[in-house]
Formats: sequence, structure tokens, C-alpha cells
Amino acid sequence: MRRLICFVGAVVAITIGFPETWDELSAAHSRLGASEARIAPAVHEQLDLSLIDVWAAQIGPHDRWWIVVPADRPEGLTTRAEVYRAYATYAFLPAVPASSLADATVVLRPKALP
Amino acid sequence: MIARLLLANLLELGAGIGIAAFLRLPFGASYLAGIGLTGVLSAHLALVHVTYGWLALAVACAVSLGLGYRTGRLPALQLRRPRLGLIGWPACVALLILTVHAWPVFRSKPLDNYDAWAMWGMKAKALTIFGWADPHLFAASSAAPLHLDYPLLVPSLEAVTARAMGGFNPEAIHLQFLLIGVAGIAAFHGYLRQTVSRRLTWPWLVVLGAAPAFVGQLLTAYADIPLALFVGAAVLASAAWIAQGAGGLPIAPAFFLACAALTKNEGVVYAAALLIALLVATRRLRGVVFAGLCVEASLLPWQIWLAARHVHSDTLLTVHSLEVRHPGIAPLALHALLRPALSLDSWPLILPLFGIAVLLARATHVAVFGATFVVVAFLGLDWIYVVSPLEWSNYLSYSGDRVIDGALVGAAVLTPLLATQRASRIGTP
Repeated sequence: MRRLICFVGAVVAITIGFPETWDELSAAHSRLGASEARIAPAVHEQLDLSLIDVWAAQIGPHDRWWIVVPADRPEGLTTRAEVYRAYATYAFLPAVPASSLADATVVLRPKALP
Repeated sequence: MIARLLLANLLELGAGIGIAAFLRLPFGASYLAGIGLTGVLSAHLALVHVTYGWLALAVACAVSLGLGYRTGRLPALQLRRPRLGLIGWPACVALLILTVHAWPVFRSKPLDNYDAWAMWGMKAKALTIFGWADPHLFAASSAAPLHLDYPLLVPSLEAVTARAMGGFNPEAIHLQFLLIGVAGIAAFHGYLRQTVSRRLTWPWLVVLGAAPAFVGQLLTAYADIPLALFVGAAVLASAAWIAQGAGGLPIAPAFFLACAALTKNEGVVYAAALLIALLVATRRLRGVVFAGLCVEASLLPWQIWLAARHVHSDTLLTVHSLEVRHPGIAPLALHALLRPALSLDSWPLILPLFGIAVLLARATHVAVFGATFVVVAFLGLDWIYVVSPLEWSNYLSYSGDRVIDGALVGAAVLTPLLATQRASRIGTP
């Protein structure tokens, strides 16, 4: 009896889950090019791509960068400035965030963080 | 690039076959064990400036196979026609078709989920570029919001894969997560086939492998499903230990729990839940203490590194975890955790069927163990939100549907086990 319930339950669960998973996988198929995929996190977070390009041009591989944040605002569990900092940390490697403004070799001073 | 990724995974499988023989794990658990071993070794070696590349993969594989050979328990290479039965064949084909369907999706998925690139991917990319956990980044106070205190198993594994592929590829890295999923399902098959009939094992592997939350979260390249797979393997290894009379030391559960604890901080919650459940079900304090010490030993190098580098942790289980910051939210948080657990769109019917299986097998050690594990795990996860300094409703909405994965995977793999008649009756093991 236990095994029959377990088997029938499994069949019902598969009937519910399998088609949904199949459809979700089909919908998730990305056809982005390599350059589009590279900036996908920034696009997803609606960051200012032109601002990031300007920063990227200023930062070399051995630099320690610091972003002087203008007015900030909360965003989820973090803030808008932290999202920009997180993206910079990910995208500008091997350059790393400086431990302080004084320690930085490149200082970025955006007027606003859209 | 993909061929090199597969070759690296083949070496991890080789290391897993050896370690599985050494630790007396079932052969099917070899791949997950190899991935866990690679993750633990590469994460710890990254702290002392040792890069885990092809040489380390080959050495680990050779040493592990050598250890396995000395035990005399390496499986003999022989080609046999698999006996899957009327139910097993279509279920196995369904999993294969799903994997083939998923492969190009995982291959082309951009790394755009926040934690995947900001936390796990950033660390993986840095480990790939620097070759180790350079404290200029990994202990930088300015990078503290990126959860520097989270252990390094998953980013280290990603970095091993990235080095094998010739560089960090934010799309192809998803394939490593798909392979971890395959390794997990193989491990569950390895354990379940020992005691459960094919007619129950295979459908339940499909239930889990085709669950929308399982595949959908694997595709995000977050650490939650890898953690859940280690937890699931530890749960099954514990059930096997209980079924064998709980004699000796629970080495296999300790190994998988150590991997889980090094995957994500929530791994400690699951380890605690599983050890409490083992104690309740078996009353074997010595074995439980041994497993707890193994988990702590696996975490210790990372904890020492964090302390030496003054990396702050607001999520690690410390004395702060006893400080109630949001009194009164526990019932609300528990309700929010149970909602996705019971959702047909996430983990269809898994928790209700587990509940029924526990009730029907209530007079067995495994049922006591399983029920205690799931209940304590949910209460432990609930406690995270009660003591977190973060705004709790936001925190729950961002993570509540993911932190429960270990409990759901554990429940799913225990359900067919509970439905068998071979579960031991309550009594002195």
C-alpha cells in the first residue's frame, strides 16, 4: 500500500512538474552574442552602460578603484550604489576595489547613478 | 572548451570513484563525491596560494584511485546491459531527454541573476584570474557587501572549471551546474538502488530531476541546489547508516555534510538539523559527535582565514545567532518558507507525499530521522530570519524560496525509502 501511494504520487508529481520544467527551459534559451552576454548583468540591473564604459576606459588591470557615491537610494536588500560597486567589482577584475579613497589609484566620480 | 570542461569533470569522477571506494560510498555517488572533494580541496588550497588546475586534478584523481585500489573495493570494469525494468526505462529516458534539452539552455545562459555574478561568479572569476583567494579582494572591506564570509566551495569549483576551459566564461560556466545536478541524481540512484525497488527509485529520481524549482534554480548558478544535493546525499547516507544498525562511525554522512557546510552558510543549519535527527533516531552520541567534528574540521581553515583577515560575518552561526532581532516574526517567516515548499509550481507534491510516507512508516527509525530532519531544518531556517540584521520581509522574499531546497531534496529522496518494507523497526539499533 505504501509503495502504491508512493508510486502513484510520483506519477502525478511528474505529470505536474515535467511539462512545466520543459516549458521553462525552452523559454530560458538565450540567443545573446558574446558581447551581449558579457554585459547581461548590467542590462539586467538596468545600469547606465555608457557610464560603465567610461569607467572601464579609466581602469587598468592593476588599478585599485574607488567610486565616490553621489546621492544613494535603497534597492532590495542593498542600495543603488552597491549594485554599481558590485558590478564594477565583477566586471573590472583583475582591478580590485580600493580599501579607501586614499588607497585608490583611480577615483570615479559619477554625477548620478541612474 | 566544452571538451576540456568534460575532461576536468572526468578527472573529478575518477577522484570520486577512488574516494567512494575508500569511504564505502555506493558507486553511483562517486561523481558527487569527486565534485565535493575537488570543491573542498580547491577551496582550502586557494587560501594558501595554491592554484587548483590540471595538475591538481590529475594528482587528486591518481591519489584517490590509488587509495581506492588499496582498499580492494574499486568497482570492476565490465559492460552489462542495464536492468531498468518497465518503469525504469521510460523514467531513465525522460531524465536523459530532459538533460539533452537542458544542455544548450545552460550552455547559452547569460550570468545575469544577481547573486550568480555579484557573489559566486565574482569570486569564481577572481579565483580564476588570481589563482587564489587574494586578500586584496577576498578580505577587502569595500567588497564586504558581497558576502565575503560565504565559504568558497562553489566559486572554487567554478574556477577549476574555468581554468580547464581556458578562462572564465560566464555562459558556459552554467554547464558545470548542470553536471552537478547530474552528479546529484546519480548519487541518489546509487543510494536508493541498494534498498528500494527500481519501480520506485526511478520515478522519484524524475520527480526530483524534473521539479521546476530544481532545474530553474540550477540554471541561476546559485549555490542553493549544489548545497541541497550534498544535503540529500548526506540524508541518504544517514538513512543507510541507520538501516545498518548505526554501528561504527557515520563517515559517509560526515563527508557529504562537510561538503554542504563549505558550500553555503545555510549548510551549517542543515548539518545541525541532520545531526539532531540522527541523535533522535539512533541515540548514538559518539557517531553524531564524530560527524559534527568532521563538519567543523572542514570549516576550520576557512574560519581561521576569516578571523585572521578580520572579515566580518553577519550570517555565520555565532553568538549573534542567539540575538533575536525580529521577535514575533517566526510564524510569518515559517509560513513564507512553507508556501514555496508546498507550491505545485516549485516542488510538486514532494512535501505532502513525504508527510504521508512518514505517517505510513512512522514506526521506523528512518521515519523518525526523516521527520525530525525536515522539521528541525525548517525551524533552523526560520531562525535565520528572526536573528538576521537585514530587513526580514525583503530578505525572505529574496531568499525564502531557495534556502528550503535542502529540506525538499532531503524529503524527496527519503520518500521512496520510507515506502519500502525494509526500513528497520524502532528499537535498539
